[in-house]
This record gives sequence, C-alpha cells and structure tokens, in this order.
Amino acid sequence: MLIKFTGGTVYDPANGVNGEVRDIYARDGRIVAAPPPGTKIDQEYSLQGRTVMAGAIDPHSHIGGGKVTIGRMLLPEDHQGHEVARTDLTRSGCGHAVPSTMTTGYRYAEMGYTAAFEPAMLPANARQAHLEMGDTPMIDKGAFVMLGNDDFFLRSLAQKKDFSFIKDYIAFTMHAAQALAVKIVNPGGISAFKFNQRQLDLDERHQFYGLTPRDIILTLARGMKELGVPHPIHIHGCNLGVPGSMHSTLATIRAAEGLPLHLTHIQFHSYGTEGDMKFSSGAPQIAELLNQHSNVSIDIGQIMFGQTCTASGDSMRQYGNTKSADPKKWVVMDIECDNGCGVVPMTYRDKSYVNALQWAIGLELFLLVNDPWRIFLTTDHPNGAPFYYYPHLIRLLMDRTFRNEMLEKLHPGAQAATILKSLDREYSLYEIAIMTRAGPARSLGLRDRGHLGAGATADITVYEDLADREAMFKTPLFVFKNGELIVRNGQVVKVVAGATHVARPEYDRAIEKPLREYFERYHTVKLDNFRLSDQEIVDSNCGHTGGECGCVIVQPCGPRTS
Amino acid sequence: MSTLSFTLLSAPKQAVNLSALIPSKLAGLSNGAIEQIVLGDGAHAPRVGDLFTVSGTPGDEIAISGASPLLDYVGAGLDAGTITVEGNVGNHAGRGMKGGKIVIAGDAGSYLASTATGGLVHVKGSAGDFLGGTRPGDRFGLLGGTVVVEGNIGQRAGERMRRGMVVTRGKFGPAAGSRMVGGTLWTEAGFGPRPGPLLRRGTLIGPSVDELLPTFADCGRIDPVILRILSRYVAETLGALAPKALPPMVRKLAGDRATIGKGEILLTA
Repeated sequence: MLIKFTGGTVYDPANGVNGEVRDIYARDGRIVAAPPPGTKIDQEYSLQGRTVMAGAIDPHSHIGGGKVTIGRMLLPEDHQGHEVARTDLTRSGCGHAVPSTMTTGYRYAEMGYTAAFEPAMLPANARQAHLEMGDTPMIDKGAFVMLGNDDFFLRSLAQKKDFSFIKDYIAFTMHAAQALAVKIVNPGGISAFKFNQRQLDLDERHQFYGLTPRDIILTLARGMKELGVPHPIHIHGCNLGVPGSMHSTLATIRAAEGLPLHLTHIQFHSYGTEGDMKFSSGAPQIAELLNQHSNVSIDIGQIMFGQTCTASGDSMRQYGNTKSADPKKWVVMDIECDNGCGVVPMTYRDKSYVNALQWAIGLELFLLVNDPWRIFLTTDHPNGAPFYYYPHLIRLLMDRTFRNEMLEKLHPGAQAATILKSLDREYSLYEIAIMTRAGPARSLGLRDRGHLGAGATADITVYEDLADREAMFKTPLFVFKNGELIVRNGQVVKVVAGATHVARPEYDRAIEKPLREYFERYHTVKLDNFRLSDQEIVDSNCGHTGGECGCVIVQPCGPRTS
Repeated sequence: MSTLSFTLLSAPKQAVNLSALIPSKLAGLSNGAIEQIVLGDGAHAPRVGDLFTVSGTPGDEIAISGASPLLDYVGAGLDAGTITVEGNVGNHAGRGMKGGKIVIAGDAGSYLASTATGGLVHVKGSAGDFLGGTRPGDRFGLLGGTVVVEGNIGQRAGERMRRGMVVTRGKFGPAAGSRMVGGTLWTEAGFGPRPGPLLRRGTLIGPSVDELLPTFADCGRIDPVILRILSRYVAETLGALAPKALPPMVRKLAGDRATIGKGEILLTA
C-alpha cells in the first residue's frame, strides 16, 4: 500500500531538510523514495501548510520497572481525579504523575511521540520492566540496564580483572536484560550507601571496594565504546540535587578524556552554592564546558511546577530527599543487594526559591548549550514533571515573551538569581525537531527512526502550524506509526503495539562460567532464569509467536561515527 | 426559591456517582441538558435521564427522591445550596463538600463527609463506617463543617479527622476517633468499644465508653470553661439539631498515650 503525504512543510534534520515543502511516500510501513510518475497512490493526505516531522523520541522517561509501580502503589491520590474512562478503542486507566501503562502509551501517542525509553532497568527487574513496557501500547520502547553499583562489577574492578572480562560482563548483562544501552546511577554511590556512606564524590573512595566513581565511569564509558554500543554510557552523576553538584558535573565532563558520555537530567546536577540561600545556578559554567566538549551529550530533566513523584535508582540521594517528600511518604529500598530504588513524591512550587531556580536552571541550560544535536528535551518523567508537559516546555523554548511572562510569576529571589531574562534565544522548529527526533535517534543508534529519509520507518507526526506552540505540539493533526494512522486531532484512532529496541554487542561466552558460579553462590535466581527471552517480550507486547511480528528490533552495534 | 427535583425511576443496578448533581454545576442548564449528564466514568455509566425524571428549575435547592444504597457521592464537592434526599444514600455522600447543606432522610453509607471542609450534613437515619474518615490517598478525614446523625454510626468514625464536629443522638461504633488529629466527636448515647486508638489530639464527648483502651489515663473530674462555650456554640449554630448542653463537670480520660496523647475523652455521665 502506497501512501502519499502531499505538500507538508517538512522538518527532517537528519537529512538536512529545514522547513521545505515536500511530498513523502510510504509503502508497507516504510518511507520510500518518490515512485515513478503514474504509480497508483492508494491513499493521499493533503498536508499543505502543515508541519511534518518524524515521530518524536523520548530518550529518558521512567515508564517501566519496579519503581513506577511503587510510585503507583504509594500514591492513591495520584489516581483519584485522574481517571480515564474506557472507550471503544482504548482501555481505562488513571494517573497524573505515574499514569498506568496503557494511559502512558496513549498520552505519548496523542502528543506525537512514537518512542520512549526507560532509562533505569535493574538487571534483576528486567523481566518486570519489559512486561510493563509490553503493556504500554502505541510507542516503541527500550530500556537501559543499570550497572556500576552491582557487586560483581565492583568486585571485578577492585580485583583488577582483565578489561575484556569486564567488557564481557557488560555485554552479557545487556543480552540477559534485553537492553539498548547501559546506565549508571550515582556511580558506586548506591553501593556505598549500604556501607553507611552518605555521599560519594567523583574522587571519593568507596569504603569497601576502594574504587572511585571516576574509575567506574571511565571503565563503563570505555566498555561501551569498545563494545560498539551506539548510545554512550548514560550517566546519572554524583550528588543529584545537592547544592554544589555542578562541581562534580564539571569534573565528570573533564574526566571523560574524550570518551563519549551522556549526562542525563543534568538540571539536577547543575547547582552552585552561591548567594544567601546557598543555592545558585551552575548552568553557565556547565554549558560553557559542554560547548567545548563535543563528546558529551545531555538531556535536561526540566522541572515543571505541580505535583509529581520522583523515582530513581539513586537510593543514596533519594534518602536525602525524603525530608522534602510531599505528601510525606516515601520508599527507599535495596534491590537484590545489587542496586537501589528511591521513590519520593514531590511538589514543585513556583513560589519556592529553590524550585523556581531549578526551573530557571533547566531553561538556562537549554538556551546556553549551542548544539541541539547534543541536548535532548526531557523532564525525566516523572522526576521533573510528567511527560505530557512537553508541549508547554517547547513553548517556553520557542517563545521568549511567554518565557519571560512565566518567569515574572516566580519567586522574586529566583528571578534575581537567574540570567534567564537576558537570554534572547528562541528555538526554531528545526532545532526542536533535532532535539526531539533526530538527536535522540542518532544517539541511541536507531538508524531507521527519527528521520523521514527513504528506508526509515513511517513514524510521522503532522502538526497544524499554530502560533501557540503549546497548542500545536499538544494536539497533533495526524500521527502515523509504521504508516498506520494512529492519532487524529490528538485522539487515538487506532491502537497498535510498538516494538522493543535492543542492542546486542558481541562477547565471549566464557564469561558465563565464572558468572554461573557467582549466581549459584550469591543470587536468588539461577543464571538461566535471569536471562530474558525474546518470546517473553513478545508475549507481553503483542502476543505473536516469536519472529512473526518483528517486535523485538536488534539495533546494530559498531564503531561510533558521530 | 426554586427547587430542582430528581425522582428515581427504578433502583440502579450499579453504583452511580452523583457528584455532578450539585447546584453550582447545574446552574443555567435546561432540564434536557441535565438529563444528558453522564454520572461517573466507565463503559456502563448511565445518564441522569436513564435513572431519574427531572422536574423544576435549577436553583439553590436540589431534591432527590427515591432511595438506593448505590447512590454514591451525593452532594460531593457541594459549595452552596441545599440537597435533600428522601431516602437512603450510598457511600461518600458529602465528600469534599465546602459549604451548603445536605439533608438525608434515610441512612448514609460509609465515608460520609470525608475530606469535607465546611457545610452541614444532617442524616436522619444512621451512618456507616469511616464517617468523616480518610480514604487511601487522603491526608486527613473531615477537615471542617458539621455532621449531625440521628441514629447510630459505624466503626472508625472520624479517622484522621482534623477539624469540624460530628454529633450523634445514637452511638459511635468501635474505634471512633482512630488516628484523629483534631475536631470533636459528640454522642448522646455513648461510644462503642475502644474509642480513640492512636488519637493524637481531638475531643470525644459522650456519656459512656463500652471498653476503654489501656493507653488512656483517667484524669479525674474537671470543669473546663470550654464546656460552656461549646454548649452555647452548638446551640447557636445547630439550633434544634444541637445536642443537650454539657454538664458543668466531666470526667477526662487523656490519650492515646501510644502516641502523643494530647487527645481526650470527656465522659458526661
């Protein structure tokens, strides 16, 4: 079936198309080159004056794994008043900060997103995370597996095992947990917390293993590069949310020594200690250093005002945050002695100096980092705000007047402490397309997503070109997934199941011998049960028998080109 | 004063959410439009017209005739005006109400007036469990306003209640005032077993207690001036609904000493 999308204004940064009026053709779920004249067009969408982009990709959104479920259980008040009734097409659900899986899928699609990636999947929780993502319809998904606080890794590193041994372990874990990339959360800190350390700076030693976060980051960064995993090591750095965290962030950027890094929700790591409140913005210094280091990419983790629920693997820092819990209840726990989990509900208030400045710091970073290819638009859902605040965030970036109006409503001390007002930059649609489509796709190694060139998957979002960018991005006119119309006027019209993306770097299977012994001795599950099969993902996703539906997509590994 | 009447056609087969039927939400609507309102969520949620015949004109008063324990959320979120029900109602009546008055001729179900911040609820029959109580996810139960019940009340009335007053001519069930943080529970017939578990602050007034928790301490007979102020206050605000004035001396039991123990049970007999 050949579909023609006629006359839309196309923003396709991966192919250098900036607002040109073009026709796009899709056949059998893929975008194809213009067919020879006279070919029968089965379906045509006339898109004159409309804005056409690839389906958006959220590279960091907590949509699966144990912590989201804990958040849902912890917050019945998050369900009440946010009920979504069943329709003939969609299933019922509820939730504001931590919506139920189905609702998450629908809301993403209704906002023009066709993929979202769960950034903190514990290997021990991988099965649950994939089952939950399988329950999330409409969008493609994938997960980053957490390493760097687990005993096997730390003990191997402390024993100075051969680097290839560690590399094999990383690759084994990615295979076993069906991951697309590797994330590290508070390098060594989650483990150190269990040895009664309450913070771990970049060069501070872990009391038991004698390792520093710097060692751990460098080992994993080098491992990812040598394994050829497209997405660089995804780092949630030291000292999340601590005033003064900017210094460890700056040191981490310098420590990379040219290795590719991705620093996630950097807003939470960009705080200084200046001023009367001992809390200030470190955004200018961090942005300046980032502009000099092309090996480092970031996502922001912008906060928005209102009720949300923070959920992180960083039990050390989340324990510190429990005193700000609102409502006053929280969960901080260990998971299988290998990792942690902290769920702390949070209400960000625009009249609070700290919250208002956090908001401004996120926006400062957006506006001060020059290269949109290395900065991705996230709220670290649900930590900064629920993901469906993105259209509002896009308006803040694209509309200076609106931004300044919002700024004037904030705590006066925060207004005085930020340089936001002096920043004139307004994002263009092309830059937004880079930040929400082409950039994440390239960084995650999704070769056929996030662009509209021939061969790409026909994930297409069409917006009305409205002056109010929030309204524009909130209700796309059409969203296509694999060439099928799934959303019209911001309403789901067809429910589909997205695919799961994984990366499978090569490794030496000999690693399984020592691992098997380790599992027998220390783990609660056997090695063979630890591994997650393709069929388990498929069963929870679309229920096809293996191999028929292509809903597990293995993204190729290889040397990074950019 | 104009009254809008809803007459139940037949007993509903499933629980119905009546929170849409409060004067401020119906102001200016035609009866035809009111009949189209969907009551609650869900695939089988009925419209007003499926259950009720609507007559009269929208104004300050709403009258619901017909009784069913499946009529939930009667007057939930009420801010002003009066709702009169000629019969029993289900759970969550008056939940989150801010003002106005609800008069229920029959019995009320559980969670009557939970999280209400103001207004008056008058139940001529009896009321169920967790009156003025807290649901999962609520920080507190009753937050203000007054509830008057002519009959008995179920268990755990006033759970995590913070402010406001509950008055009954009948008896409170077991564990009245559990985890209460403030406010007043007042009975003319006495408390059931073990009132006030983990009572932090707040006052329970009644002639007798069936079984006292061991964590309450007998403080003897006292004559605080608040007794007279309280009696005068309820007589002024509740008029004919007010309980009998308190005697000049009461016996005070302080507790619950399993927690901060700043609450009290005042025995009037």
